[in-house]
Amino acid sequence: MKKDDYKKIETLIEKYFNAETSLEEELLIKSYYKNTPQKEMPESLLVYTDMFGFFEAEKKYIESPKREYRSFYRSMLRWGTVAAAAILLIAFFLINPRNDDSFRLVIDGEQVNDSELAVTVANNRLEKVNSIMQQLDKANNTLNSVAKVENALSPVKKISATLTQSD
Amino acid sequence: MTSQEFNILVGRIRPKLINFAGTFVKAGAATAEDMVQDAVIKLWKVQDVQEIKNPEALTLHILRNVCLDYLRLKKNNTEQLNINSYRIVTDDPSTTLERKDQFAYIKSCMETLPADQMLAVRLRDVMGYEMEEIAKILETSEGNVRTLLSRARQKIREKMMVR
Repeated sequence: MKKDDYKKIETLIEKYFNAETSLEEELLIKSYYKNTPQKEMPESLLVYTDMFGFFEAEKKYIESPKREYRSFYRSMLRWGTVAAAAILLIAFFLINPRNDDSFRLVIDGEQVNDSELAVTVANNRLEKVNSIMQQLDKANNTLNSVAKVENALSPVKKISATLTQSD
Repeated sequence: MTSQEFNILVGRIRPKLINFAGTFVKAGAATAEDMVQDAVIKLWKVQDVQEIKNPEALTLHILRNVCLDYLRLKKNNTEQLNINSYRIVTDDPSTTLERKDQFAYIKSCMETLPADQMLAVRLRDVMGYEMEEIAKILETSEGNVRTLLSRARQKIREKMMVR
């Protein structure tokens, strides 16, 4: 059974190099190379595995979703989030100026000396920052989906922009 | 064709176009995008004037000419053609490094082929177009496409034996 298989493929391969194969015959060759483990192949056919493997890999690469747009938008959004976080941090420290190395808490103009209370208030503030960060994350995800739609629309926009320009 | 149908067509074939242009220049660089855009605009203008039977083949044909024009200009500026050579072709993690290396070698072999031979292989063996379509895209006869294919495939075979 297997011997018949590879005899058939050998014949097709000869036709292939003379460019006499139809698309269906080429599909047969491709599926042979895709589905047969190398140790079961005769030497005469083994030599071409990388060639057909290459074509298959290139085909998969073409069919995978748009790569350039995706990574560009993602990195833009990441930098946006980083920038926003940095701004928040700076704002946080600006709101709470310190003259010395220790942390001080001031409520209603009077410095709080109770360390427990100070820690509790500080924690509350940090939690607020945390929830803002989480909101940003959600916004990030929403932006991601917007970017995908943007992607799909952009060829249209570019074309209509160019056409209105050239009028 | 309505503009909506046109947009749908372009959206559908865009990855193929970008990849096709990418064989001439680095895919993902602005240039491949520009060339595709150029071809799409030309296509829009043509379809206004006449009924198109095979828009996909026609677009590739236009794109090929846009790319060749670009390359001719580039040659005059003596820049390096095709920085794309050693891009690793597969993202599949199960592909061994040795195999990826072989693939890169085959890709570079293809790039030493005459343009139409390289294109014939790409259009047939990678993208699966019919002889008739390839003939249209390359602006030649089906018989010539066969010749181009057999020469190209045999050359690749030779180079693989050497390694």
